[in-house]
Amino acid sequence: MISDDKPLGRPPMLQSKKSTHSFLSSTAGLNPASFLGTDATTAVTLASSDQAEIAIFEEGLGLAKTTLSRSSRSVSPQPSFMVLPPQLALDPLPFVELLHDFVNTSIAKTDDTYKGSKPFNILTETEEDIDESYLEEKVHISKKGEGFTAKLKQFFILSSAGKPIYSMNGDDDVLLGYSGLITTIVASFEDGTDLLFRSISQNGFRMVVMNKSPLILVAISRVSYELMLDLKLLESQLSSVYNYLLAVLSAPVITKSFHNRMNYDLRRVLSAQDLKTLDILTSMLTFGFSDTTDDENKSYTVDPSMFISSLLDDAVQCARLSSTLRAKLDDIFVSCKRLKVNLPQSEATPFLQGKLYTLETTKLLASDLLFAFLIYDNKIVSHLHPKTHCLENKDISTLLLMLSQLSPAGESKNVQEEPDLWFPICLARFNDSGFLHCYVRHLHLPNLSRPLTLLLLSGNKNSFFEMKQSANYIFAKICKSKTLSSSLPEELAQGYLPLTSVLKTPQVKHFIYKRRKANQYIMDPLTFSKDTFENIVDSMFILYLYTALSSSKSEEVRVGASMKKLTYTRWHLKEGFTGFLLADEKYELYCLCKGFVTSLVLIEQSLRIVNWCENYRKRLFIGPGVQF
Amino acid sequence: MPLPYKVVLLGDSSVGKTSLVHRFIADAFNPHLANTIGAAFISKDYTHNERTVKFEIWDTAGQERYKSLTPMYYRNALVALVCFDLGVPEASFERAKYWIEQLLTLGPADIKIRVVGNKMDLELEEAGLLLLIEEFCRERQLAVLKTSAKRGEGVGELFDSIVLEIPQAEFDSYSLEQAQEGQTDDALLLNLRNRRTGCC
Ligand SMILES: Nc1nc2c(ncn2[C@@H]2O[C@H](COP(=O)(O)OP(=O)(O)O)[C@@H](O)[C@H]2O)c(=O)[nH]1
Ligand SMILES: [Mg+2]
Repeated sequence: MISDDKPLGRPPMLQSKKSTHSFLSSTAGLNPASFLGTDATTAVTLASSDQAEIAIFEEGLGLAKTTLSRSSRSVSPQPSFMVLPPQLALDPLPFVELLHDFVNTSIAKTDDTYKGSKPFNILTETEEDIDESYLEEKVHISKKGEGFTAKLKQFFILSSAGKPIYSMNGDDDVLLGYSGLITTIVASFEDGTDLLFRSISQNGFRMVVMNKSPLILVAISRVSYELMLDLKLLESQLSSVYNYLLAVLSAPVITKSFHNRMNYDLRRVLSAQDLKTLDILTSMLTFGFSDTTDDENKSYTVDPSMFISSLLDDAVQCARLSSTLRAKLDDIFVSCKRLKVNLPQSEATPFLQGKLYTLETTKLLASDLLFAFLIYDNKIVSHLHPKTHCLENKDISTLLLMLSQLSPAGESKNVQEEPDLWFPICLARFNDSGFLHCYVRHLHLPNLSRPLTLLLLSGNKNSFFEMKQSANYIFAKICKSKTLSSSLPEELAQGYLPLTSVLKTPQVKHFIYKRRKANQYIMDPLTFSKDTFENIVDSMFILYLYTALSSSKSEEVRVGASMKKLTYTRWHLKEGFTGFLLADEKYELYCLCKGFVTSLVLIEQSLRIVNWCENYRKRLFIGPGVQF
Repeated sequence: MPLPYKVVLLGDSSVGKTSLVHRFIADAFNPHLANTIGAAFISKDYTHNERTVKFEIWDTAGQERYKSLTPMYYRNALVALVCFDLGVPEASFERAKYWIEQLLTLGPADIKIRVVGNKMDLELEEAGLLLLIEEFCRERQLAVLKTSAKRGEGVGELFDSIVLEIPQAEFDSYSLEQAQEGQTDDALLLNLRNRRTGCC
């Protein structure tokens, strides 16, 4: 998420000649016209490395000899394996050297030649220049019929009968023909078989279909980085779109709408606000920015995190917070769940009928509360859920999307003047046929530019006042706690400090670290320059590099019992970029560097990041959250 | 605590309900207010003519699909502000009509309905349509008011008149209630209970 919170320290990572102030801004300084190289991506393959005998350090055993060997499972050019000690946290050095040797042998064999200076277009991997009019023509959402086919990305929601319900671009005249065609293709493919139509891919074009009768969702992409990956990315985008539809309508409403007449216009049930939210969603999911222009001002919100989340299998972002503070917040949630209030006399219910009966005079205030979240800047700070139920990340992302649409653009700092919000939402992975009711309130803490947002999800539509009282309790507890009221704003603001400077990994300009089990990630904060156009191009550039990195062929290395995956990639764009991916069953680390950084340096710095993230995992990730 | 007074705003989306509430609460106009989803609740202590009430306002979204949830918001309301847009009176009054009919048939018997034409600053010259609207309301003995949340016109007057219309008896009986409740304070009750059951 883009922040205007001032980093507390000056990051030492600012090396751009154009005096812009981050890795990103320096790519902004990088005029797309000056991208170099046509064959821009060089994935270093390790599969070609020779067998070698190497010495490794085994924990507790001292030096042992192991043979670097390929797994019998691997078929060339499949990954190769080598055996390494299980514990690198203790002394990563032998591992560093070893990996470096491994990488080095193969780099020597790759073609690193410089390809001359030609412009490079990250969206199409052609030489076409990206300027504002290019974005206008190919990228920005337009509901006009003309220019429809020029767009690089399309999303459609159609009825099974071929009626357009939503389209990212174009008007009804253009759409009718397309919808009919698409539904005909899908229907004639599926007719008489058990097969589902999934996709068509050809030369820089891909169409992916998700058949959710009575709806058909379609994504068409000509965006280079979206085509680097398998179908999963576009399918994940489609399911995000579908999840939003379900969130506002629920499955039975959709089915019922079509039950009688197949041509029922679902658009009548969708509000203008829903269509706007779908535009924001589809644009964010593809390009990492969205148009928030209103009558007077042109404005864009740049935020690559939604794309990154679907790249990382729907991982959600957590806010950095010391575990003591997080535990305090968790305790408040749990104590709120146990809070008893007196019943007004009129509501007191006799619970033991007969001669001897007592009046039940208290009740649990938050008995209807199912899930609770504290959110800061779209990142989860704390989360409460029942022992028996967890929310899937897709549902959490949809909730956050709704939340972002509810926050006023003009900041009102006066808490007194902010209303409590109460709206129905269907969290489809949790239960696609019913609505939960969501209570939202913001807490403005001193010295923080953004509010802390409390979400309380209740199973009872009549529980607004109970949720409001619970929120009063939670906020009062936060404000009354000396530790929380002073340290919480401080620590949340520190979340904007670039981690690469904290970690002293000067070569790594940006990284993403994901823990697999919880499916949560943290990423180094991104600072953007003020120029919107540059920000948009920067954000897409980040998406390009990370997608290229995760789609590059990786090598697998056995370390003790665990398999490590690694990818080392160089891009000959302007002064060059290097990407490095290191993953095992616990984590995934994605790093980006400016210039060509040797694998030795990268491995060393990556391991430092991994060790740090694992050491501080309680501070970086919320895990499953707190239960009641 | 001053006399609580529940008000609900109904009407088509984007006629300016949220802007009206914002004008009343903050005396300001913010063209960038977020769209309402579901409903928003806000309360404000307001004094007019030496009478203070605690306005508890439900601002609904007016979304067609959540129609079935709306009774929850007007069920306990004493005043309903049914809003339409003077800039597009024809389209927006259709929806207002729907809410008026629903309130008259299904709403609380004593709910006071006020019909509010907002966006007075955009009002069209031709008054023919407005005459029809006024006639519709007169037949049902409903007052029609005009406001502009943008310019701040008519909003204060609207809430002033609500305060003025509250019968004095309601203030009197409320303060009596308050005085009695003071004696059976919640904390006191809890203490008593604990002592009786012998715990802690
Ligand atoms: N010109 C004018 N515009 C208004 C007025 N009140 C609201 N608006 C605009 O009308 C749109 C919808 O307003 P909003 O308060 O969100 O309507 P709601 O959906 O009924 O809550 C917004 O763009 C407001 O800025 C008004 O009195 N005059
Ligand atoms: Mg509104």
